[in-house]
Amino acid sequence: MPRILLVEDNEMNLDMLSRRLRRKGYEVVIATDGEAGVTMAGSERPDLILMDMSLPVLDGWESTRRLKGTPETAAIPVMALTSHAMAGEREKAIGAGCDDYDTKPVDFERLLLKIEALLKKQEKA
Amino acid sequence: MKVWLPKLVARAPFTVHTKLIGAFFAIVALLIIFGLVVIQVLSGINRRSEELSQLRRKVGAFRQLQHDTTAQIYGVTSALLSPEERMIESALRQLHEFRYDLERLQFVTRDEVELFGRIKIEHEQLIQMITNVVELTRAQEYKKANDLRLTKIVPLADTLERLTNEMVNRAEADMEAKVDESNRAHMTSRWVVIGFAVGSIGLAILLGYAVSSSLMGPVMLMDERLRQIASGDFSKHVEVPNRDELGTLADNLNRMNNELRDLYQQIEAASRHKSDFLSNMSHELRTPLNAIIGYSEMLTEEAEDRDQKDFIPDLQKIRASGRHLLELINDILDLSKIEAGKVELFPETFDVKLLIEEISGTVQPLIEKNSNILAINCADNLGDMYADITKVRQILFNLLSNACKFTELGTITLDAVRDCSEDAAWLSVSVTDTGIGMTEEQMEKLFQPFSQADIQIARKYGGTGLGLAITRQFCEMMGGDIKVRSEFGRGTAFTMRLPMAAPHPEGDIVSLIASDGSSKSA
Ligand SMILES: Nc1ncnc2c1ncn2[C@@H]1O[C@H](COP(=O)(O)OP(=O)(O)O)[C@@H](O)[C@H]1O
Ligand SMILES: [Mg+2]
Repeated sequence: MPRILLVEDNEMNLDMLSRRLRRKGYEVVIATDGEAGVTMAGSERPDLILMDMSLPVLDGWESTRRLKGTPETAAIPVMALTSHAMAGEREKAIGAGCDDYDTKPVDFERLLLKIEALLKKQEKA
Repeated sequence: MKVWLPKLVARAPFTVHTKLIGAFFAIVALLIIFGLVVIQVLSGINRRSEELSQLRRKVGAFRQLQHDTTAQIYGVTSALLSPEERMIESALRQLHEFRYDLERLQFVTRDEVELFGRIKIEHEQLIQMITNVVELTRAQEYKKANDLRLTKIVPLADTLERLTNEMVNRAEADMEAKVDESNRAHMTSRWVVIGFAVGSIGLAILLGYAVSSSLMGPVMLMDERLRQIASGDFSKHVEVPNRDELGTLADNLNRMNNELRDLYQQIEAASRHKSDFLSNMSHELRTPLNAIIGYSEMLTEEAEDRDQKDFIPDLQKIRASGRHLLELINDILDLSKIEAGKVELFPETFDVKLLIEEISGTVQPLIEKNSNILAINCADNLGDMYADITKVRQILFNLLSNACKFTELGTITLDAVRDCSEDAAWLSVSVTDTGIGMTEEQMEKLFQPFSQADIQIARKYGGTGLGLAITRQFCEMMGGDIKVRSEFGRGTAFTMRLPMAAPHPEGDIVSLIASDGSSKSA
């Protein structure tokens, strides 16, 4: 089953998303700040990364930029989770190298569809 | 001079009133001086012409004398040639006239006493001689008379003629000199008058210029400054050299500028705080809401898995309320961002038909909720559009969700066409429903924030009355518009129109975003 790295600092979001993803059969590894996320991506080699944008230590944009700048992790698709509040956040996420984005609070069904689509694309490549 | 004179006038520590009166009196004084000069010149001309006419009279008198002398000699001669009493009488009469001439001469030649004295003596002698000749003629001593005439009268007459000639010549020379002098004086006085006129006009103009530009300059400066203040530029002060009322006015203007600037900054700060507060608050509200929605969804799934279906309706109510609250928060946030001018457009190219299909998928649950049917008619030539897809999606979603909300057991139709008019291509989308419709009155309040058709509707259908306000703002921001047609009880049709190609934003978005992102992490 695909392995997903979830980088999220909010405890409840982390708990909820990881439990729901696991229930859908995914293997979930977690990190609670940007730097840990970048390190985990190198060591755990996930198939997909779900990245919150407002993170401590290293924010989501910079983390993504680092992931995409490192050859070993560059190929891993990154899905940004942005909050509706910030104007242009989506564009910023794409600009930082994210492959797709979804807004928080997440619509779980929609998120699953997007995850599957990204994974399928990854397999083909 | 162009600059320093008005400045000098401006700096003068007098009131504008004093300056104006001063300038006025200066001009009046110039006029009076000019008048005096003209009077002076005129009286000079007058005097000279008087002198000239006196000379003319003098010359006339001399000529008369000359003429009379000749006539006299002629008279005596003819009296001798034909010594009748009549001729003698006439010669004597002429002698009398001669006396008048002399008297007249005496009057006009007061200045030439010596010459006149000589003429007079000669004349006395001539008269004496002629009287003698006449007496001799009467005594019929013609020979003696003729001798006397030849030896005395003729030489006397010659001398007299020379003398009078001299007088006439001298007087004529005098006259010529006078005429010359008068011509010269005329020229001089003409130049004096012209000079004075030009001088005083110049002076008056200069004075007027200096005074008026010392007043108008600051007024224009202040007008310009006020214009800038009106357009929100508080960064400058107006500097005027005036030490009069205008100076005070400029000081007050600058004070007002500062007050307004401070006030403006306070307001700006307040409004920034307000929108910061709103965006922070909505972020903070969203986080727990996230959990409420997420956990209620999770519990629903779990309840399904564990076959505990009786919990499900309650869990769904929690979830629906959470979603509703989320929508409200998003709407309020959107509106406050629009009001603060913080909404940016991020145009991109996308397929219109795909977007419409995606949205129809999203609203499917809402359609089914009130047992409605959704019909979609997309023209074949819709093609690609360059616009902010998030905003277009939000507009269409708002219109469709309203149609669903206010329609039961009806049909909701979406018509999308590409129409080319006004030199541009437009996307025109109508959302038509067969729902409750609106009265004219209700339609008037449409598109205003927090305006719902009426209290009953608000109570029955919920909502905030923000959706359409946001929708219209987005439409206008993207260069389009939105219109409504509705019939109470029959249905409603909203039609929105957007340009197919939004103007490209300045600069490159991606690079802008990249630099923004890096500065954030630094
Ligand atoms: N399709 C429609 N049919 C009838 N009334 C409508 C329709 N769309 C909007 N309205 C009226 O306009 C009001 C404002 O709509 P909106 O701004 O979307 O706010 P909300 O949906 O939150 O009430 C609604 O409350 C309703 O009275
Ligand atoms: Mg609405």
